[in-house]
Amino acid sequence: MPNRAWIVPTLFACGVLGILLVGGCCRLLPGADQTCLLPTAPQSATEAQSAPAAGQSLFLYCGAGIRKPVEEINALFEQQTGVRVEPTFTGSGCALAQIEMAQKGDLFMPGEDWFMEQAVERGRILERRTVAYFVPVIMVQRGNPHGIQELDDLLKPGVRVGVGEPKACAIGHFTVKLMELEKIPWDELGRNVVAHFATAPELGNAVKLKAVDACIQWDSIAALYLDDAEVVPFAVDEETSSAITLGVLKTSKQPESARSYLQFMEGPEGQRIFRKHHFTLDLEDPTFPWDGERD
Amino acid sequence: MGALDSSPVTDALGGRSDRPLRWGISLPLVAYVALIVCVLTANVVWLARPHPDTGQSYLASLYANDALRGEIGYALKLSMVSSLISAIIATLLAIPSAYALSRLRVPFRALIDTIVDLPLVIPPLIAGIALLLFFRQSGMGQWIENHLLPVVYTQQGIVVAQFFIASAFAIRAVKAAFDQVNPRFEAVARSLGASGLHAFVTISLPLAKSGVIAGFIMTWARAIGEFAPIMMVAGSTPGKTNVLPISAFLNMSAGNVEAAIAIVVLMVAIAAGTLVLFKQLGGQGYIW
Repeated sequence: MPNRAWIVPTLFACGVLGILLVGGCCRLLPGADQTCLLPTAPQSATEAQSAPAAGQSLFLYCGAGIRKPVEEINALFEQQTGVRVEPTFTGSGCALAQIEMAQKGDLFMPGEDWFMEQAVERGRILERRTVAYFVPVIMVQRGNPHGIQELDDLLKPGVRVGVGEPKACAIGHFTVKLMELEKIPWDELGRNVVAHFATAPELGNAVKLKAVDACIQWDSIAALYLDDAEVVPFAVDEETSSAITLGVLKTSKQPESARSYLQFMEGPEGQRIFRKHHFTLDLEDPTFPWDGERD
Repeated sequence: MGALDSSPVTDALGGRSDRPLRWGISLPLVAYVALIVCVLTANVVWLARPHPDTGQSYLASLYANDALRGEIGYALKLSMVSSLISAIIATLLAIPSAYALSRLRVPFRALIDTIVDLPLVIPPLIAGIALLLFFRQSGMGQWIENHLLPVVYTQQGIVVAQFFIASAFAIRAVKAAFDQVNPRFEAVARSLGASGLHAFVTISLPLAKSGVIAGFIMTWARAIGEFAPIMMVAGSTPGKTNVLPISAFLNMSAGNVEAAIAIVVLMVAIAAGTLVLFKQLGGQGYIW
């Protein structure tokens, strides 16, 4: 009798396998490749009106903090070349892990150059270019209630400071470097540090949600929060800023198309879109001090 | 306190004056419920606050944003479709598996039981990396990718990631339902000439029905909230693999905290509806 009892589980297992096989057949349906559940939504009005893709599609691993300009550039690039760029927006560390594990994809654009260096060290990058810069600024709550005017003011008693985690993100790594350059003892700042954050947008959210009073932040990320925060800029140079780079991955099956995307991004149209989204393109002309122009 | 007076707990305490004890045991509950309600209310109030420059409520301006509404609408549909498929497959797998664990003398039962729990214990991000590694670096995973079903960076990847975690929930919940069905009923049916399959279909399954349905709903709720494994396996591509939690993450990363919170509130509403349904179907106390 116990042997017969296995019949039921076996029947159900066959049913499940059947469903999986039916699922597998999805990809045989015309036009259904990779979109079994819902048709892929157009990402913007421009894209919806553009001619059908020339058949090529590039896969881009992109830092989630630079989504806005990248989506706009992708739509324009597809409109002009017929090549669709499919981005996945994650934390740059996650993207690095995905590149390592999946061995798939054409382009990598981490939020911070620190991750690109790691990808280069691992031999994953065919070619890379700088397309914009991240410049550090002090981000404070709207109205600047603690009257912070310079880096030293972060040491004032009672100022709740948030910092990027030095091991997790470049803004954290840079905060440590900046303090060294400015000869501000890390321990002294540490007395006011109430939390470490894993990404630059998390730091911005913390200021916006009033969890911290101030933080060292990248300029274009701080620009996302100008409704609820203010920016106090300070003098910077190449050493205290971070290049935003786009790299072609060695796993790319269409390196020529990937290269043309790279050229498009560093060309006038790509640069115009980055500027529109408040990215610094030239360290001599940073986003902050703000010139008063917004979208 | 009327509701408390009629609850089984106070009945068990007897009819005498035991107010201090009643208060003692109900205060932590009231405090915890108040905390949850306050947190959720704070989110909604924060969303409804007026914009400092325009004076318009953030909620209203979010609703007026067509692109955002489109993105959230797509995410909602994708979440619903993918989580329903995952929950159905997980439950179909769970019914025989749970029945086997509940009734049969399966070899290495303790080991199998532990392995079933593993997807619940592994941190979600790590589960995602492990799945990605399986599909792209192992021979078996690559064969599935190439010959059966492309998974990595596709919508199917959403279902696979949800299924991997949610199946463990389904098996736990359905097993609890079968454990509560007295095996004697089946034994009687079989002594009267019913086959094992017949006894299962006509006796055990109907008796466990509400537990199975409740398990299905909990599995579905778990699948709809899945985030990190989907991000790793299916990617977070707007307009393709952005289920609700991924949309919340994408907006949070782009400084649009209000949109992220709106998605969270929407998900809480879905979860609340699911839990009400779950309890209506007799799910409370069934799982662990």
